[in-house]
Parts: sequence; structure tokens; C-alpha cells
Amino acid sequence: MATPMLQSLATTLPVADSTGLPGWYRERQQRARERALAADWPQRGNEAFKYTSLYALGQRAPRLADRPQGGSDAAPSGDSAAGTALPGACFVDGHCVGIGSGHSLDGVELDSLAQALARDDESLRFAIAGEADDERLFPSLNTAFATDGAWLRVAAGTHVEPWLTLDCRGRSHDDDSAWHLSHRIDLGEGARLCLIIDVSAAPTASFATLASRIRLQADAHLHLVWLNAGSDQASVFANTRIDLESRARLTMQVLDAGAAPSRHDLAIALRGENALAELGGAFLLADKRHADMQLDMQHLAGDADSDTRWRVIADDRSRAVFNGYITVAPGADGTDAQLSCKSLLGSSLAEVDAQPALEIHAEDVKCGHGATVGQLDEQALFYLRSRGIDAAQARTLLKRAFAVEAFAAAPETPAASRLVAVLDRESA
Amino acid sequence: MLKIENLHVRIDDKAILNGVDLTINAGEVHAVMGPNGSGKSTLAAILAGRDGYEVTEGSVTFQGENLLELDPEERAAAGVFLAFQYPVEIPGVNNTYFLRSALNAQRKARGEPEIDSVQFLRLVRETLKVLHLPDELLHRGVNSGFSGGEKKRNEIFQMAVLEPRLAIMDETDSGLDIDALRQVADGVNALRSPDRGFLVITHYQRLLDYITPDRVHVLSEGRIVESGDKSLAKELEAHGYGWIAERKLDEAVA
Amino acid sequence: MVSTPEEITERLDQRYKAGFVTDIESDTIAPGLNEDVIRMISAKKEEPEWLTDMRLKAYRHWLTMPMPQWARLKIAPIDFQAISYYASPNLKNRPKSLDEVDPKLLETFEKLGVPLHERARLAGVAVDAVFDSVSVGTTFQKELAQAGVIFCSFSQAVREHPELLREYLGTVVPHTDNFFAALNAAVFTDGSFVYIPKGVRCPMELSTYFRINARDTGQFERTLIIAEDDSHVSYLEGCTAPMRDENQLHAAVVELVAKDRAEIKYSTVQNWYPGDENGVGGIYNFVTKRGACRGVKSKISWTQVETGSAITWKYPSCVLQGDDSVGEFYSVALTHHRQQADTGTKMIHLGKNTKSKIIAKGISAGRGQQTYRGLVKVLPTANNARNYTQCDSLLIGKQCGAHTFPYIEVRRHDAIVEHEATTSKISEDQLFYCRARGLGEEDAISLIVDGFCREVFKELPMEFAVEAKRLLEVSLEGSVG
Repeated sequence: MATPMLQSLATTLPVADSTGLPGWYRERQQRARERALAADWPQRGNEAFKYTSLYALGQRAPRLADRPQGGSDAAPSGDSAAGTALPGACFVDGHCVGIGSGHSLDGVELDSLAQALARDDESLRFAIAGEADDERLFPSLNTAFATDGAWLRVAAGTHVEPWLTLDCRGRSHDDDSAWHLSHRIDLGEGARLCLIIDVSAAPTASFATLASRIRLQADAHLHLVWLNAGSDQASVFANTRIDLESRARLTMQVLDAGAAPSRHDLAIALRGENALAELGGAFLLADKRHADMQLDMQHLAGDADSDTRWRVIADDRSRAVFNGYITVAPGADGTDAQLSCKSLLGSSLAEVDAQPALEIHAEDVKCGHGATVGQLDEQALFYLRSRGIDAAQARTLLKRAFAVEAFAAAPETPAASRLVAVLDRESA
Repeated sequence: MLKIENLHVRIDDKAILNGVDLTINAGEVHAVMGPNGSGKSTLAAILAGRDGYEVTEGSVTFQGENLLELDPEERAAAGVFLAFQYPVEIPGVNNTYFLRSALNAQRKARGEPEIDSVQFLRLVRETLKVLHLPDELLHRGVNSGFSGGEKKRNEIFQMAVLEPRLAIMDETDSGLDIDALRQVADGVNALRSPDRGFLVITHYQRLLDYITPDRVHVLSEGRIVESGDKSLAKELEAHGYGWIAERKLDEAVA
Repeated sequence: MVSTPEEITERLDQRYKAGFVTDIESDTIAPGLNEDVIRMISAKKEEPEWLTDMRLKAYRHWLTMPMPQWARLKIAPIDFQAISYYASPNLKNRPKSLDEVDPKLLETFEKLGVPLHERARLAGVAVDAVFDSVSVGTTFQKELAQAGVIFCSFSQAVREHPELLREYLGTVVPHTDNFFAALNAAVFTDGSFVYIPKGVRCPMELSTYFRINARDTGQFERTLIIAEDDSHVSYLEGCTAPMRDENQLHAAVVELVAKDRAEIKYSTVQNWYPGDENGVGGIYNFVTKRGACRGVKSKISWTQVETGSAITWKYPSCVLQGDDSVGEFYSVALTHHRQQADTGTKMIHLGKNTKSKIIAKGISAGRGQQTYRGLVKVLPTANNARNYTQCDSLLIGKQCGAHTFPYIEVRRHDAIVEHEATTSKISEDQLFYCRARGLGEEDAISLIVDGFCREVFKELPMEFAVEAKRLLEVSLEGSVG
């Protein structure tokens, strides 16, 4: 159905200054654009968007945001997690505005996708050529319209000490705007990296897609912190795909404050034996914010383990959606896959929809999932108050204890400290 | 009754037993002691027929038969009983029902008539009385929700009902307090008889205060390095396992 | 080694004891479905006009519906025009009592372990026996009538209690509900009707035994149970069919209504022919079962043991409307060879302080594919709603699959919902422990599986629990090695 959104996209050219792009990339954009335009806008009853309505978004026709012209709002501000002092890269409205000191670290190559394309970087072309087309609507939109992104490689055996940050933000505009970013991150054999992807959409109406393809070669270890600061009016659609080869390890922590909506399709593919994925996530939702995580945990090889813990705090009129889908492919014996999703509903107008799912095609497995919905423990609350802590603070303490469980695999990280900061600010 | 000769056993590529020799006659109680990792539990597992072990050399005969060729249930029917170090929980399966199924499967294999539920209940009630065990043990699931001590006592109870020829006790004393230990020992002593052999595997000497062994063997690095009467256990208690090694060294030097 | 044909037959008989065919003359209408066929069924049943209209309305709606695709099932296309929608053993005159029923039919049910005649019938269980599209008789009707309980075939209810049918039929499962419910509403033939008046505790278990016999037919039965205030009833159903190489369709609808403080316990032991090892033949069991807890403190409890059918697709559900009402679902489903099952429940919490409990045990062996699919929904009106769900899957063999898809939708901040699921194979430790005590491998597996299902079996009436256990053992035969 030609919704206003798709109609407006039909008249939008992929990347305003696409003339500088290599022909093979333009063709790829064109294919994706045609796919997106031919697709039906997801309606009610579409299983993938069962709990996240796209009706309102389909009625909008956001304009592709222009490249920022420098000035104060283009550079990351001081209180950002990606302050200029930190290594990494900063993107505003879908365009790279600065690459920090990250690229000067030994064994680290950090580039802007647009620049790498402009010089038709061989290795980038090789990497993209190996990617299968993602037929789904939002990944297709992203492929067609992404203006920039990070192209980050860590050489085999390199241990990167400092945290790198990819700061992805949108500016406030008077009209409805759109931006699209596409990251590629590749860790060589035995490489180690700690990375923050920090998404902060504008508080105003906007539409953003963010695609990340991350590859962990054998024995690599990525510690990935994904932050979404939240927005009342922005619609953020993230698609992340992470492939793990043998013995690779992913420690990922997600903190999402919701948007209108904040939707994240996260696929983690354990392709090599003895790979390990530890995933922790927390939704802290207030007002009318909506967060939707669609996790697709794929056990494709034997003896790989995954452990997912999600914690949801939904207050006011917010809505949390968590779909945790674990697949164990035929032959992936020795799999141990566990998932838990616990929710606290803080208001009678909030809603949580949880869908933990197991699809198992191997025999020698240990899989389990649990989901609970409940409230703060009244007895614990009373206990704290009887020790002199006021009710609001006691609630904050208990909420913090509840949410921090999600990050138990690695408690001392930017995700955990941001979580504590958000909860403390709320109670203050 | 049981004859182990030059037994070598590996798990994956790791040698665990390196030539064990041991003979147990009917009516005898043998204790095998040894430090952690000496191969004690492997010896128990290999006798009961657990998968995952590779016998590279040697033989085990039980009442003239090659024990190593038999499936676990065939060994049980032949009269070998292993009291597990960690008895397994089987939720939802009633203890009495389990035991009657096991007993009848063994009887059937031996060509004996099956026992009906009335006879069986009489048998288990008597056994419980002899062992001073509570009746409620019968109504619960196999080991499920049992404390450590209850599990061990349940093993002895099963042993009493199944009346094996050879009872192997794998660290039955571990994790027991003194009262439970005494109860377990009383149960074993009540089952001692001229046609039954015992192989008591333990780390500590204290169980042997209550179950007096005829022979004591010390297992170290997969070999029996010392054998003696019950006084050997006392000496081990006094001097520790290191004492054996030192004495061996002295002998070698002298 | 099995060699002679007799021995082979014997072995097969052992696997599926209910696989025989009764040789009886049958009044079967030609395959095909249109408005005339529906009118013909309605006429054969001597139905009032409102019921005929209801069927036609459902049929017209069904024509607009596509066959649903969302379940994880591989279903060969069904040709709805190739099915005969009505097959009745030739009863000449409608038998007035069981003594007048064709002895061949009585023999059939006796062979299935459900004797109907006075001398041998099961003590304490009233049975309604349904053969293809019609009920051949109901036992203990007189005794039940004395207690005020109505228990009869659906056709009899149409003739004798039309006012009750008109009030309740289609109010729990409307014909618009889903594809197969619409089809059933158009072509249903027989089934059971139960009415328990106010304050009555039904003096015996009620039970319906469904038997498919004729070839190329579908069975579309309809069951309606109404429990008035403060009443109590326990109802059981059993099902079997001959072994045939074609798939046969069984699309039933069951509606339960529980008023204030009423309690309905509904148990099923489903043993439709599952098809052979290669997936040839077997019943397509596509059923809609739903109970409405309309009254305060009412309770509906579903227990099912699903070992049969080539494909099972059903979600016995509870709509918890009354305050303090309770819904329960206990299920054991076993898939072996190439059987598929997509089953579970829906618990819809509407009333205050409503509680639900779900215990689902799935066993998958051979190339069996099994899915638990369940919905727990707490609506804003359901203050203090509570749910506890436990679903466990056991895998036996490398080629089977076990899948778990719970949906949890909560819109009450004071709700407490707990869901837990596990999937694992039979533990090596448990197997070794059993074998070290003298049990053979197959016996050890059945013992462990039986223990795994214990929580569900204990909800079944005694005779059914024994039957369920036996079925599980037989169904698991050959799953080792």
C-alpha cells in the first residue's frame, strides 16, 4: 500500500550527493529502494509488528536531513558519553562530523563509510559484496538511504584498551526529518574491543534507521554497550546483526529509554563452535515511550552458549515489547541457551508484551526461558522504609537492584553507570 | 567373587587407572582409600558400567563372568550394586514404584518370578524398620527434593531391598553429619553376610570406625600402592596420604 | 525379526490397538460442500429453521476466510470438496434404547474398552458414544435425569432442549472465530450436550467416546456444556480411528459455560490414528475448545493427553470473566515418527482476582515436531490477576523438534505473571541410574517420561491416567536407538 511515507520515499533520491559514489554501490542502493517501495507497509496483523503499530509512521513523510554545516550543534557536547576527548566517531543527522583519536590507535582502522566509498575502498567493497541482501522493509530503507556510518576494523590479535564510541545523534528540526546510518565493524582473530554505540535522536519528530553489521572472527571478544537515550517524538529503527565465529565472545549490554517507538531487531548468530554470547538489556520507560526489542539468537554450531537477561521497568503510559527468540539449528548439540525477561509495571496504564520463544532442532541441548511480570516487593520496600529510607528513594534502590541484574555479566560498564544515573535522576 | 586384574582405564586421552589389581571374596569388606583425583570414583563407575570410559588393558571378572561386557542393567541383575556418590533425582517417579520396577526387572532377568505389589510393600516396610527409616520415604519421588543425607540413606535402603552380591559404595560418607553417618553404617552392617561382598570407597577414615573392613587399599595415581588390614586406615588418618609416598621413597632408598 | 504377515499385523495392532474397521452399512452423503449439503445435513437432523440459518450464515462466512498459515505446521492442502460431511451407520429407525442398537456397533465400542450395555458398562461413568456423524447411544440417562442432569447427544438436544441450545450455542466460540470453527458451525453433525442445573454436583463422570470409522469422511462434532450456579461436573472424552492411508479431518468445537461458583473439569485422551512411521495417513485434528468462566468464583480446568493424530492443532482456552474465577490447563503432548502438534492454551483475564495455571509437557521423538503456543493476556479490568505457567519439553532423538512460543500481554500493574520453560533431552545420569538398578533402556525411558508427565496425569481420573500412561508407552515404542 502506498502510504505517505512510501510515496515520499519514492520521490527521494538515494543520497543527495550520490554522484560521488561508485557505480556498484549505487546499484545496490537502487535495488534496496525498489524492494522497499514494492513492499507493503506493515499493517495490523503483521506478526513482526504485532505489538508496535506502524500506522502513524506510515502517514508521515519526513524529509531527509541535510548535512550539518558546522557550528555549535554539530560537534558532540560536553556531557555526551562521547565527549570529544574520547576516541571514536561522531555522526549528526546521518553524517560523520568528526573522527576522534580512535583511528590513531595501533591495529585500529576507523573510517567514515562515505569517505571510504568516495575513494572506492577495496576492502569495503569486498566486505559489502559478501553481505546477503536483507529483504525486510527497514533494512532495505536503510540500504537505500544511508548517508554514512562507521567502517571500523580491529586487526587480528589487537587488544584495544580504551572504550571507543560511535556517537549517533539527530538534531532538532522545525519539520519532520529523517536520517540513516550504516555501520560495519569487523574484529579480526583474537582481537578485543570495547565499543559504545550511543544513539540519541532529537526530541522533535524524526525518523531514523541504524543498521550495524558486526563480525567477530575466531577468538575475538567484543564488549558492546548500546545506549538509546530516548525521545518522545523520534522513531528509531535499529537493525543489528552480529556474527560470531569459533570461540568468539560477545558481551553486549543494551539500555533503552524508548522512543516513538524505539525498535531494535537484533540478530546474533553463533556460527562457530564454543562461541559465547552474553546479552543483558534494560528498558527504562516513562511517559508514552515505546521500546520494542526483537532478539533473534541463532545457535548454528555446537557447544555454543548464550545467556540473555532482560529487565523492563515500564511506568506511566509506556509500552515494552520483548521478543526473545532462540533457535537451535540441527546438529548444534551441546548448546546451552538461557533467557530471562522480567518486568516491573509501575502504572496501570503501562503495558508489557513478552514473547520468549524456543525453536529447537537438536537433541543434546539445555535451553530454558523465563518471563515474569510483577511489582516491587512490598516487603522489601517496607524493610527499607523501616530503616529510615523514604519511599521514593527506596523504590529507586529496588528498581536499580532489579534492573542492574541485566548487567550482571559485567557490572562495571558505561551501561550500568548510565542506568544508575538515569534512575537517580528520575528519583531526584 | 570379584577379580580385577591389571586394569587400565582412560577418559578421553587421560589415563585414570594404571593397572589396578583387586580381589574381593564373598563375605569380605574391602575399603579403597585415596586422595582426590586418585581414581576412586572411576573404579566405581567402571564396575557399574558407566559410559565414557575406555578400558585399555586388564580385566574384571565377577563370579567367573567378564563384567566389562555387560550392560549396566545386566550387571545389576547379576548382583552388582553401586551406591552413587551423587544419587540422581528423577522427578515425578515414585520411589516405591521405581524400586519395584527395578527389583522385578532384575528378577525377570534372572528367571525368577515377579513380586506383586502386596508382597513388595511388606518387604519394603520390613526393610525400613530394620534401617530405622521413615515410611514417608516411600511416597516421595526418587531422590527429588531429598537432602544430601536422605539421598545417601535412600541408596542404602535400595541396596537392602535389591540384596546385591557385591555392593560398591562410592563415597557414601561424603557430606554426612555424624548421626547420618552412623545410620548409614548401621544399615551396611545389617547387610553384611557371608555371601555378600562390599567395596567401600572413601576419602576419610571415619566411616571405617563404623564399618570395620577386612582389607584396606590405598589408591594413588591410578594404582593400589599399599594394602593392609584395618590398622592401615588408622595410620593414614594419623599421618595423611603424604606418609605413604614418603614411606615408599624410604623403601626405595633403603 | 518379524516375518509373517500375521506377526506384522500383531505388531501393528500392538502399536495402535484401535486401528480396526467396523464393517457396517453406512448412510453417507456424497463428498462435497455447498449450501444444499448443509441443508441436507440439517434436514437429516430434523433441525429447526434457526439452526439451519445459523449453519448457512457460518458457511457463507467460512467462504470468505483463508486457511490460516501461522501455526508451525506442514499441512498438505486439504480439498474440502473431497470430504463427505455426513456418514451415519444405518440405524433404520432411531433406536429408542441401547438394546435396539446394532450389535456390531456395540461390539465396536466394547472392543475399544467402552462397553455400553447394562451388564458391562463402566461403573460411575456415563458414556455418550459417537460413531462417525451420529451418537449411537448414551448410558445412564435415566439415573442422570433423576439428578436433573441432561446428558445426551447433540441431535437429541436439538429436539428436546432447543431453547438451551439457542441461548448458548456459538456464544463462546462464534462462527467468526476462526476458519475451522466456521467450518464446524456450518457442518457439525453430532456431539454431546451437558446441562447441570443449579446446585447439582453431577453424580458420576460424564464421558463421550468419539470414533471415526467411514472412509473419506470428516468428523465435525460439537460439544456444549453448561454448568449453572454452584454446580460441578467432570467430563471426559476419548477418540480413536481406523488405520487408513488417507488423512481424515476432525474439526470439533467445544464450548463450556460456567456460572457463579460452578466448576467444569474437562479431560481428553486423544488417540486418533497418528499415521505410520513414514507419515502416511492419520487424522488432522483441528479443534477449537474454549470455556467461559462467566460467573464469580467459577472454575474451568482442561486436562489433555495428546498422543494420536498426524497433526494436532488446538488451544483449549479460558475466558476468565467472572471475578475470582480460575482457569487451568494441564497438557501432555507426544509426537513420534512424523507427527506434528501445535498446541497450548489461552488464558484471558478480564475479571478481578482471576487466576490461571498452565502446566504443559511436550515429548518429541523420532521426527516429531512439537510446538507449545500459549497466550496469557491480562486486561485493564483484571485487578490482581495471577498466572503461573510451566512448560517443559523432552527430546528423544536427533531429528525431532521442540518449540515454545508463549505470548504474554499484561496491562495491569498489579498483575503477577510467571512463565518458565525448559527444553532438554533425557539426562544421561538419570538413564544410567535406572540401568544401574536393573532397568532396561526402554523401561528406563518410559519411567522417566512418566515421571516427567506426573503433574498432568495426576489431574486425570484414575482409569484415564492408567490409559494415558499405557498410550505413552506404546507411542514411544521404537524411539530408542
